[in-house]
Order: sequence, then C-alpha cells, then structure tokens
Amino acid sequence: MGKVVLTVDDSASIRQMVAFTLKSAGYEVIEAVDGEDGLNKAKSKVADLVLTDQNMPRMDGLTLIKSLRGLPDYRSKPILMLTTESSDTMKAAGKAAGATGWLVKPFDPQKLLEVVKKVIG
Amino acid sequence: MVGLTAWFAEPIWRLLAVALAAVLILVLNAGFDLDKTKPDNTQNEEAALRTELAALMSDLSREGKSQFQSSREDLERVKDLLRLAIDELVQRFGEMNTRIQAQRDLAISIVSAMSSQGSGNEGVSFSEFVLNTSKTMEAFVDNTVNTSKIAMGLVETMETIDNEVNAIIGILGEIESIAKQTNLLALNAAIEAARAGEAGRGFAVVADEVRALSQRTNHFSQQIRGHMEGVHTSLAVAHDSIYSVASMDMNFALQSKQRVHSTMARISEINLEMAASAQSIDEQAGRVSVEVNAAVTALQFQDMSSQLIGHAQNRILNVEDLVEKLAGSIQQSAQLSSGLSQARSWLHDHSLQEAQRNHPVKQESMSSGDIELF
Repeated sequence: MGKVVLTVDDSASIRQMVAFTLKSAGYEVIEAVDGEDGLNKAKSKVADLVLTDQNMPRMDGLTLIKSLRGLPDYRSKPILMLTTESSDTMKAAGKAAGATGWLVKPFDPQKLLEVVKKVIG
Repeated sequence: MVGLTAWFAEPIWRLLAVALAAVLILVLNAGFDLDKTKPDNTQNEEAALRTELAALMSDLSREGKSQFQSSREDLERVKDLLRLAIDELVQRFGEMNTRIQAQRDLAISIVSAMSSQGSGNEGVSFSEFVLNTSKTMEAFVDNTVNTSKIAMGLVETMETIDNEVNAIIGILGEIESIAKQTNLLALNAAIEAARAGEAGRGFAVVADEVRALSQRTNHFSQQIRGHMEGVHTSLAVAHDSIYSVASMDMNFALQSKQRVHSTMARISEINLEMAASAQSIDEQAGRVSVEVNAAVTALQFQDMSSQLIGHAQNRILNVEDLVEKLAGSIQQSAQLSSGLSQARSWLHDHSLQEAQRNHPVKQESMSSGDIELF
C-alpha cells in the first residue's frame, strides 16, 4: 500500500474514475492531462506504475512510453496502456514501445484494481 | 450517437447531393453540346457553363461552410455538455463509493465487536461482556441463596438458645422456691430461738443471718430472671427478623436467578441478530459498490463519445475542405473539362486517404474492454 500510480489521460472524467478507484484501495494517485504533462510529472516524482491513454493532445501514449523507457528510473517500471484503441497493430506498437499491458476502455474498476495489484502488489 | 451524427450529417449530404446533381446535369449538357459540330458556339457555351458552374460551386462552398461551421459548433457544445455532466456524475459516484466504503468498515467493526472472536486486546467484546455479566449475576444469586441457608441455620441455633434460656428461667424458679423455704426455715428457727430464751440468743442471730441470705438469694434470682427475660425477648425479635429474611430471600433469589438466566439468553440472541444485521448491511453495501462500479464503467461512454464526436467534427471539416477545393479547382481551370477531371482525381485521392485513416473507437457496447498483459 501507499504505492504511487501516475494516470495520464486528457479526459478529466477518466482521470477521476481511475483516481477514486485506486485511492479507495490505498494507492497514491498523480494525475496528468497529456503525455507531456505525464512525462514532467513522472520525472518530478518517480511512480511505481504509469497508466496512460493513447490519443492525447501534445504527446500521445506511445511517445510517452518510449520517452519513459529512456529514463533510468522507468527502465523496468510497469507501464499500462488504458485506451479505446483495440486493434492488434496498435497493441503490437504498444508492446514494441515497451508497454507492460494493454487495457481497452471502458474499464471495470474492480478489474483495473486486480490488474494493478497483480502488477505492483 | 449514430442518430446525432446522422442528424448533423443530413444537411451536408443534402447539399452534396444537390451539388452532384448540378454537376452531373452541367457535364451531360456540356457533353451533348461538345458532340455538336459547331465549334464557334461551343466555345461560348462552355465559357458560359464554366461561369455558371463556378458560381454554383462558390455558392455551395459558402453556404456549406456556414452549415458545417454551425454543425461543428453544435458538436463542440455536445462535447462540453457531456464533459460537464459526466465530470459531475463521476465526482458524485466517487463520493458515493467513499461513503459506502465507510459504511462497510463500520458494519465490519460492529460484527467483529459482537462476535466471540472479538479483537480481545482492546477492551472486552460484547459477547464476553454478556458472559461476564451472566457469571457475576449467577455468583451474586448463589451468594444470596447461601446467605439464606445460613440464616435458616441461625434461626435454628436461636431456637436452641431460647430453649436454654427457658431452662435457666425454670431453674431460677427452683432457686426461688429454695430461698422461700430457707426463709421459712429461718423464721421457724427464730421462733424456736425465742422460746429457748437466753440460751437461744446466739441461735437467733444465726437464724436472722440465714433469713437475710435467703432474701439475697431471692433478690439475685429475680435479677437474673429479669435479664434472662430480656434475653428471651431480644432473641424472639432477632429470631423473627432472621426468619423473615431467610424465607423471603430464598424465593426472590430463585426468581432472580431464573430471570437473569432468561435475560442473558435473550441478550445473547439479540447480539447474534445484530451481528447478522451488520453482516447483511456489509453485504448490501458490497452490492451497491458493485453497482457503482458498473455505473462507473458505463459512464466512460463520455470518453468514447467525445472521441467519436471529435471524429465527426474532423469529417465535417474534411467535407468543408473538399467542397472548397472542388469549387477552387473548377474556378481556376481555364477549361471546364480539365477542371472537372482534375477535381475528380483530387476527390479520388482524398477518399483513399480517408479510407486509410485510423479509427480509434471500435467499441459497440459498454461492457468492459479486454485486458492483456504482455
């Protein structure tokens, strides 16, 4: 418990849902509004898990993952994609960029919690 | 959402259909005219047609632009309204979830406080309290019953003492009669001494002393009798008191014992019922939590809808661009036929590009999406 999760999504309601789902299980949640914001926040406080959307203004999820994987702190940290994208080509691109897993929206809060627990305990 | 898009799309397709029909008629007319072998007139007619068509396309472009513009603005407003409403709903549901969690924690703490396997290290659990109270009450009742038995024994002892006292009083009567007889003997002795005259003077003194002794004996005996009767009276009072205490307490204590027993059994039952209720509260809250989760999943339609609306807006922008480019292409080309074919090939390229565009939202229902860990 007390582990830090960074959620990156341009939709405020998705950020809120992720935040209250994870906070209710005792995780600390940091919110970022797009890839660039997410990258800055990831640098200022090292998160135990990054949960990112794909389609966002300024910087998309795949670019964020690639940028994070270039940082020593995030070389082996779990990064999950939470997006409406469900095509196999996008998933393959995510895997190639270094994503740990792919969650297709809409997410069930209970299932999200299970996955997060599985990945960071 | 499809209906919404269709509603917005309708005027666009209407405009496009009108434009296509116009282009078709003009092209057919032009073709028909070109077939005629009148080169002088053909040039003039084509120029006239080109002007007509260019004007029509420019009107279409202008009118279309304003329609497309307001369609996009309407869609933007839909997006904003959705965002505001869903943000609010999500916040409320989040709050609801927090409260339900608090309710569950409370119910669980009630259950654990009531169950016999209570926390133990901090204070006493409710069932332990019931057990302790029951034990204390039982000990108290047992003590009372015991006291009552002792009191009964005491009553018997007092009766024995009273008999002894009565026996002593009886003996005192004997002593008094001895004293009386001694007195009488002393009196006779005094008479006999007087009759003896001078010779009996010494004996008369002894007879007097014997009489005085008998009187003292009688006096003491009566003093003892007085005290013994006092003892007898006090014993009778004590006997009555202890007897009433002994007989009354027995019934009361036995009834109390039964009452305590049944009350404790009832409290124990209530305790179990309350624990069951608290358990049920927890279960209900758990179910509400599941419902809230389902609602939260469903509320994510806003994220998908907004992306779809954004797509529809882009498509409207594309059509707007398309119409403008077509109008420009016809306007700029010197020849009507070359302008039209240029416009068609441009349209063809553009539709290819459109087909290759990635579509980010493929979901058709609100059931939660796949999860894949690489």
